[in-house]
Amino acid sequence: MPDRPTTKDARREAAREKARQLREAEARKKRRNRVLAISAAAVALVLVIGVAAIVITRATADKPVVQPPGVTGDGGIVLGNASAPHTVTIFEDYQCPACKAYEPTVVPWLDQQVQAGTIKLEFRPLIFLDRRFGGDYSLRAANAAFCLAGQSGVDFVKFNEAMYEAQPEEGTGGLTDSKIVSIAQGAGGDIGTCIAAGTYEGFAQKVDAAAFALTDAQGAKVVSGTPTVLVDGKLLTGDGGQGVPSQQQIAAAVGITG
Amino acid sequence: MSTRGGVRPPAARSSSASVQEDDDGGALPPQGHLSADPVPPRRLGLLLTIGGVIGFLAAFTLTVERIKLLADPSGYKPSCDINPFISCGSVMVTWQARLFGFPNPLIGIAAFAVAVTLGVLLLSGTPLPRWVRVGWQVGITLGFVFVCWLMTQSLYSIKALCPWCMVAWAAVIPMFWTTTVDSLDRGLVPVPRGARRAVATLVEYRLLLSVFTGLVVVVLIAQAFWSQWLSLV
Repeated sequence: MPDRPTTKDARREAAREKARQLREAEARKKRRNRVLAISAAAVALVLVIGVAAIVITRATADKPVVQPPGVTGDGGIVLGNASAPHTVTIFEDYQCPACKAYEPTVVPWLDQQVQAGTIKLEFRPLIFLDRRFGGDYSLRAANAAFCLAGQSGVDFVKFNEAMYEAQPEEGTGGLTDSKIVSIAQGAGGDIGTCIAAGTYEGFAQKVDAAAFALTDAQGAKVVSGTPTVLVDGKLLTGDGGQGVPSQQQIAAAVGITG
Repeated sequence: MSTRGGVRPPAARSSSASVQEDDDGGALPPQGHLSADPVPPRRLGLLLTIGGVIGFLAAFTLTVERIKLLADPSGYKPSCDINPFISCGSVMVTWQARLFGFPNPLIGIAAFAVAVTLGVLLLSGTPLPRWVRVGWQVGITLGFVFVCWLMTQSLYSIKALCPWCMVAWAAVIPMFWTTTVDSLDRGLVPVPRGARRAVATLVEYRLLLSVFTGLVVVVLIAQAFWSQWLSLV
C-alpha cells in the first residue's frame, strides 16, 4: 500500500483497494448467512430425527400393562397367610449382585416365619439395572417372576434363590429365556409361553417406575436401588441408617425374638 | 495490523493469491494468511477467555466435589448426581477419571487458566509470538484428544454422564477448532500447496466445524443412553 496517495496511479490503487474491501465484506456477509443456514438446517435435522426416533421407539416399546393374577397392583408377589400381622417387602433386581449376596442371609429365615404365619413376605422385582447396563435381562427376569407368581403350587422362594444362584455378571446380557424357564420348572411352574410373549413386561415397567416414585411421609425417596427392605410399608435400613437390615434387625422390627 | 507482528507469512503468498478468485467475490487474503476471512485475533481472544473461564469453573467444581467425596466417601452426594446415569459421583471414582494417577480436573484447572491468559492477551491486542501460538496449538490439540477419549469412555465404558465434565468438553471443542483453523490460516501448521484452497474454505466455514462436532456428540449421547432418556420423558 502506498504511503502518500498523491499520484494518479496511487489514487487508482486506493480506489481498487476500496473496491476490494467492499467485495470482501460482501463475500463475508454471504458466507456468514450460508454458515448460519447450514447450522440451523443441521440442528433442525438432528431434532426432527430425534423426535421421530422417540415417537417410533415409544410406540413400539411401550408394552401393554397386563395385571398378573396373584400379584398386587404395585407389583408385590406376596407369600404367606393373609392374616399374618406384619409384611416384609424386598425390592430386588435379578441382575443385582448385592441382592444375590443379601437374600440368602435373610430369606430362609423369612420363609420360616411365613410358614409359621407370623409375617407375609413380599418380593417386588425391579428392572432399573437394564437402564444402567443396557440389555433386557432385568425385564425378562421380572416378567418371569410375575408369570410364575400367579400359578398354583409353585415355590416362589425356590425360584428366587435359583435365579440368584445362576445370576451372571452385571451387564453381560443375563440368563437366556430357556434357562429361566427351566429354573421356573424346578420351582414347579410352567412359564414357557408367558416368557416368550413377554406378557407382563409392560406391568414390570410400570412397577419399576412406581417403586422409584415412592416417597415417605417427609417426601423423601424410599427406593433408590436394590436391595431395599420395607417392614409394614416403612423403610428399614441397616446400621447407621444405611443399606439393608440384618435378620436380627428385621426380627426386632416385627417384634419376633429368638 | 499490529496484532500480527512476529508472524512470518507463509511462503508462495503472491503466487497463490491469483488463484483466490472464486465465486465468493474474489477477495484476496490479507498478508500472512491463507484465507480472505481470517480469524480476527480479538474474536479468538474472546472465545479463549469465555471458554477458558467456563472450563475452569467446571474443572474447579469437579476438583472440589472430588475432595468432598474423599472426605466422606459414603455420605457425600455430589451436586451433579441427578440420576443413575447423569452423575459425576460414579464417574469421578473410575480409573479413567485419574488417568495420570491424579484427578483429571487438576489438569483442567491449570490448562483452562492458560487459555484465559492467552485469551485476555489477544483481547488486549497484544501480538502473540509464533512459538506461543504453536505451544497453544499443541496444548489445545492434546486437550481435544483427551476430551475425545474421555467421551468414548464415559459413553461406552463407564456408561454414565458427568454434567461438569460435559461442560468442559463443550468448552474445549470450539476452542480447539478455532485455534486450529487460525494456525492453519497463519501457516503455523504447514499446509501443502495443493491443500491451500481447501484449507482457506475450512477457515471461512470454521463455525461449521464446532457446530457439527457438537451435533455428533449430542447424537452419540442420545444414542448411547437411548433407553434411559426414554424413561425420563
